[in-house]
Amino acid sequence: MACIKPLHLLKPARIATDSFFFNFTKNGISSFPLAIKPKHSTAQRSYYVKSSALEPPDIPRLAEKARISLTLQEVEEFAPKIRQVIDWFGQLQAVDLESIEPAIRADTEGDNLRDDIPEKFENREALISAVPSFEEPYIKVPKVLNKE
Amino acid sequence: MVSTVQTPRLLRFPNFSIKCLSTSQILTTRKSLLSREISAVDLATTFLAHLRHTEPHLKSFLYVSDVVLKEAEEIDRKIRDNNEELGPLAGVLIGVKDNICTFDMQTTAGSRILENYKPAFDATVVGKIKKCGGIVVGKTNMDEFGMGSTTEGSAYQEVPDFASQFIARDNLDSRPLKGLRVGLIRETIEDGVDPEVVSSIRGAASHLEKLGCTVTEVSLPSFSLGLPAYYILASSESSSNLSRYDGVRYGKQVAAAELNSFYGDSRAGGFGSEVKMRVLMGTYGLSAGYYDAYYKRAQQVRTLVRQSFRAALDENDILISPAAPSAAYKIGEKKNDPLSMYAGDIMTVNVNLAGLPALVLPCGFVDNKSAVLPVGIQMIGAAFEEEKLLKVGHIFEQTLQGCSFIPPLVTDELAC
Repeated sequence: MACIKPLHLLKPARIATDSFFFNFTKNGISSFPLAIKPKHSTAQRSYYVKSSALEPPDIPRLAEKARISLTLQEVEEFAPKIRQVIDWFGQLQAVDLESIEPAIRADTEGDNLRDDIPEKFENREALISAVPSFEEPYIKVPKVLNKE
Repeated sequence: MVSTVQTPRLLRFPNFSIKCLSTSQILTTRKSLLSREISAVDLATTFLAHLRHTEPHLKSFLYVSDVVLKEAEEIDRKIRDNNEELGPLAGVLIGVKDNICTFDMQTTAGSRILENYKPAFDATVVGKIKKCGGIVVGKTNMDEFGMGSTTEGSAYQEVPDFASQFIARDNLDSRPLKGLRVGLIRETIEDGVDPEVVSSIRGAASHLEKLGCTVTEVSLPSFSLGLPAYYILASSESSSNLSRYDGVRYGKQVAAAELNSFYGDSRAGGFGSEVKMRVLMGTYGLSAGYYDAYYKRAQQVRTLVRQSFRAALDENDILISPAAPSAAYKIGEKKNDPLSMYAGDIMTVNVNLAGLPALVLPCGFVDNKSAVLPVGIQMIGAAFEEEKLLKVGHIFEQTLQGCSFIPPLVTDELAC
């Protein structure tokens, strides 16, 4: 870990097979990701990922979870880039992190917190005027449909 | 000299020559106002005129305040009435990056999803600037939600492709930094960093030695791990933090038949590509079963990064590194290569993980035949030691010869 190699030269651990089969139904798009075989990289460092545990990213399903409507073109454009970055994330698997505590934030020790006392926010009108669709006293949104 | 008249005038010499632009005007503004040498309105008018001249070329502001002169008049009134204390930033015009909330002033974070959003509150730092008498002149352009590495990622302004011939200017007298221990991070001057960047940093290191510092090399073994760890954490956390942008309570909203497509289409129309990709990556990283592999391991790497910085800052007052592994790349050059773009952040993301204060100053240049491009040095301080860091940075900046880059656009207007 002593130096910074040009990152685009590092080979990812898993080479995802390229075909995703998109199934168009009236409920939306679902896909069938194929199983990943770990490929032994010829680069100096290889990042081995247990293939059974981690499915590659399923872009349409992720987009649905994240509530972002993607066009087909966006799915095609984003999928290889996202896969490439997530493969690159995989290099952390090779690091020995046994008994290292996770740091939940970039905080420092010490008593630097203010008192936990609630304060009243006076300018409610400004908050309400920011709402795009408001009909006193409701914030308006379209109807909620139940998903099967 | 400047005569005091009622109508606002554009100020000329001696206050606004290039020599003075390179010294700290913030320190002299308040003095000049109190001695009635200039008025706050004159000062504001001059800067606004300058802005009108440079903005069509630089496109650095997304919004310019329309109450600047009113606030300047208020400061002049306080001076005339003589009965109110003038804050240390009185009359100083400050541009605020558009991801920092300014009350009742457009704040978009460079994203369409917050088009026309006006916060109901000032960010703490803005509140403090106003309390000190500062005037917010406007909001500056940025990469959308800070996810771009360059302002190419802004949803609003096209980055102008202006010729980057910088003119070096000489600087002033020196002051020593005796006994200050500086650590040059070894991993930041090795493979993968442009050799001309490395030599600029080594040059800056010897300049620090001339100022009295002792410079030694320090090693931060987990340094290169910081980059993937940072991007896992950043994308995971932004997938969560950006879920609030749903078109309901503020921001851009689209018409839709039902709630899920309302969310989906509002967000699709409001977020740029990089933001969408990061949200998707983050959603993946935080999915059930993946948390341990990605997010938790990234947090563990964060612990390693924090520990190694803390150890280095026990032995040193300041750490230094290049601000980036290369000089600025061409517009569009990294558009289709996310890893290559992320690689440019290697020097700065570790500081984010460690939660330390840092600043960047010009320290040299790279001459690559088509352009002369500036090189930045990053100085990193220990937690809550901003004062020491700013002092070192100020002295370094004031004494380094030949690195005050001023673009020709500015020198044209204000030539001595």
